[in-house]
Amino acid sequence: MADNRYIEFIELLIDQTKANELKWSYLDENKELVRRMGWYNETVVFSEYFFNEERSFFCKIGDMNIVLLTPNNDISSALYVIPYTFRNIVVLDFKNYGEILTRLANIVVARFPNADIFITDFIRKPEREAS
Amino acid sequence: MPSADQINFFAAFINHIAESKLWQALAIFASLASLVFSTYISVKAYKINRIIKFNETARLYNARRYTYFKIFRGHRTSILKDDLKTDLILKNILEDVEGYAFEFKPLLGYFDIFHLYLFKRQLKKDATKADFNIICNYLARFSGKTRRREDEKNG
Repeated sequence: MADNRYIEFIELLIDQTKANELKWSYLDENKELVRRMGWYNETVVFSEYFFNEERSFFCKIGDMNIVLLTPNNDISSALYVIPYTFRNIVVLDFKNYGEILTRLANIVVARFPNADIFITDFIRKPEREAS
Repeated sequence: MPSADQINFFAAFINHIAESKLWQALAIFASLASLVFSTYISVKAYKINRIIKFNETARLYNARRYTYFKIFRGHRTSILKDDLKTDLILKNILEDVEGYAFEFKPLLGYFDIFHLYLFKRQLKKDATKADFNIICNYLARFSGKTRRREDEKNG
């Protein structure tokens, strides 16, 4: 069952992201967070993340880590609110908050450069200049 | 070791079968019957295989339909509420629509396949040329479709 407080919280995240008040980064850039949450496995031979590195992000609000995580081989993301103590974590799952999490993911993904979009724009640019 | 009499008797019996019209007719009938029977078995096996695949996909669909429902609704809200009308959102929607089509292909009817084709055509356009109203309508159509549970077939 979705809690209205959490929906309001995610909506605030969306508004602040749109207003550039939140600075999101790719989740794999924060090795400590990823390691302590058990989302990263490193052995002598190989290392692997248990999440989609291109669709998982984090930002900081005070001491809190806000993580938007998309698992590997899945399209359903979840939002984690993780204190610096790594205790009393809140997880907002896709089952209850899927629609608004997709919205947040679309806003966050749009903050990052994308090579495919760059190529499309680069090809389109002469057309714009000509017209 | 068989005696010469036994060998002769066996050879005579084989000769009799080879020359007998009745035995020849029986052989032709048996081979035709086996052809019909094996064709029937092949068709049946193909149909059973299709039903098994359909039921597997139906189970997967029933488990994941709410995920797609929320994803399609989320994309629609991104376009309508957040005014995200960019190439990037088109690519993201296309990725999810391709995933949906790929995962649930055996469940899609001709009408759905036709609409998916038109939907993907819109999504492959530039953001400047794509009609976001049509895209929202298709997102509504496919998220609405996921409300219905898919029943398994019994044969």
